[in-house]
Amino acid sequence: MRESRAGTARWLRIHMTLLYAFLYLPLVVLVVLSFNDAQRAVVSWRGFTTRWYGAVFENPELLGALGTTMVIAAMATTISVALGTLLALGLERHTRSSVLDSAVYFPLLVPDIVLGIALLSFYSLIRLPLGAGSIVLAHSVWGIAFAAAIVRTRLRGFDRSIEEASLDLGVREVPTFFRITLPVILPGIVSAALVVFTLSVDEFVIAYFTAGRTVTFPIQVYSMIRFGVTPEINAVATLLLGFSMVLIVVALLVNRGRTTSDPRPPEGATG
Amino acid sequence: MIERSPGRGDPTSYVIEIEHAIKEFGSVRALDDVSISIRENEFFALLGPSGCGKTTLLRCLGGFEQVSSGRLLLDGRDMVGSKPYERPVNMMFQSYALFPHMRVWDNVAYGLRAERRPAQEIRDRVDDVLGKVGLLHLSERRPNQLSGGERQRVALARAIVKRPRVLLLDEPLAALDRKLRGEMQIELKRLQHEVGITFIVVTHDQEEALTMADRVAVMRAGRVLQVDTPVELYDHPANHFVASFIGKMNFLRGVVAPGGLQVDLHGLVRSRPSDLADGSDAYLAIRPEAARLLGAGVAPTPADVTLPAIIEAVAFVGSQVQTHIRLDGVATTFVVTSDKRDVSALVGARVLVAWLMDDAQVLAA
Repeated sequence: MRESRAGTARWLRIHMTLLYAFLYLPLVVLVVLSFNDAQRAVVSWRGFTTRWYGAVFENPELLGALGTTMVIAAMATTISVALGTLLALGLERHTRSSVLDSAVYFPLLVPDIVLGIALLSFYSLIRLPLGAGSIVLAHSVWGIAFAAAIVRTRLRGFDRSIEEASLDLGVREVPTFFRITLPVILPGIVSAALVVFTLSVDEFVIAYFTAGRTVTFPIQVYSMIRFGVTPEINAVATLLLGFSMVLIVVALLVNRGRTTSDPRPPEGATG
Repeated sequence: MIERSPGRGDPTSYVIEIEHAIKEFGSVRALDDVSISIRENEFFALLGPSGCGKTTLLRCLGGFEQVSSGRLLLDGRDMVGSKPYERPVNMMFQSYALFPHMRVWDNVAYGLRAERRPAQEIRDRVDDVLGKVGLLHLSERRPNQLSGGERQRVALARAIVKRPRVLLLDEPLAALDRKLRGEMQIELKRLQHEVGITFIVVTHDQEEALTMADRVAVMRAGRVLQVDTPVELYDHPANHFVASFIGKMNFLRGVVAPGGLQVDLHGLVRSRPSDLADGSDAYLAIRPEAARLLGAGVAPTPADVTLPAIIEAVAFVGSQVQTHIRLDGVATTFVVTSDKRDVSALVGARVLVAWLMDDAQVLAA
């Protein structure tokens, strides 16, 4: 009995190891190869080098595309977070329609390629010039949905009587929003901003459809890859990986670390 | 009652006058023609079961809800339609509603900063009020680093620091444990006396209301049933509901008849006449301490009402002995309390229960 349980545990451990290897081994290989001192990204190890990272920072096209992407991501994030926060507040406090409620999250479930085609058709129809501006709008479509979803989880534990207390103490509605509501949900907003920014930076499909002649960072990488995977590409990908991971970890920490309202409800308190 | 020094105007003047207030939520009447006048410096309690409208009334006074009709006068001026920040009234919320992102000190200073008081004055007043509630040493803490009792005091300090004309307290002690609640009842009363502000407290706990309040309004289903001092409420409840809500009461159901109450299966119980019309449903109400048990061989006095009963249980509860008896032919248990520490009565023994005719009241159903 005891032995078979130990056996099961061992099998589970092997199973888990394989699963994690399946998930993360490609990433490890990518990072390792970005330091490989070989002309082409072959699997044989030719010694350690950081020159591919140097090459990345001397590639004007890549740097230009990176700059474009940063501007697009910053703008899309600003729009998404501002509108998404207001949407979350409205949904949490005033919606009685559950259909309307779930419709907000629908853009997150639509396949990127469908959204890309739809936006391209729509922008052509309304004769919106394609370029950085149209990418910003396109990214804001799911960015708003994402931001609304994240901010909303923060609002769920929000005790509205703190807003009433502020009014009661002599502060009008608008200053109350900025002094009470906003600071309390700020971790959720920052977290939403970091997630939307990360997603916008590495989003390829929708950007590709709505870019016109604008070249974003993922589009530039894609065009480079058509001539084969070079160690330089590996270095770019590793940088992007590190950047995304840092932002996501920060987003998680921000949203978890500082507590909203009191985590412990007063004992025995009911409405 | 102790004569208080007048605060503003003469001591008998009313700070708050609620006139025919009606509040409707859709088809539900949360307040149904409520009229109450509250005096300067009074500790006033709104008492009733949940859903009776007491919290709605408090929120209307605070400006968080607007009455559907009627007037709410503060110092003679109608407050209806004004915002919470336009009223010299502050509220202590049931959840305390402390600002989680501010230190205790900043929570208390918030209302004074909104008034743009000079920095020195804010410092003095916040320190003073934190001292009054005994929390000066916790000024730097955040609300989530405080115990329930400490948070309650911060909420109180924040609500009184602006020296409102009226302080509204929504179930201020409900979140505290039983022992702390008892201490805080006395503490609130002391503080109210010290700061000289009119307190209106909402509670569902009759003991809390009786302990703290100068006067109590008992509410049910949006209506005010009785407004009186605790002693009057206890001694002369207006009806069956008030009598059952305040303290322990024995009831015998019956119909008003000439000369007394026609009690089911018992015939006429002669008792103090009331102003109820003959034939209306009513209860004969007797406090447990007003009734006595007569053992065999003890004769009742001519002023006594007596009924035969059987002893069901005898309980010693510290300061007194409670005897639960069942009157012949009546389904409900009747409780008699005595401060004599005699637990010798035998369960199952037949006794006579007696009370003075003047001690029983006939109450409307």
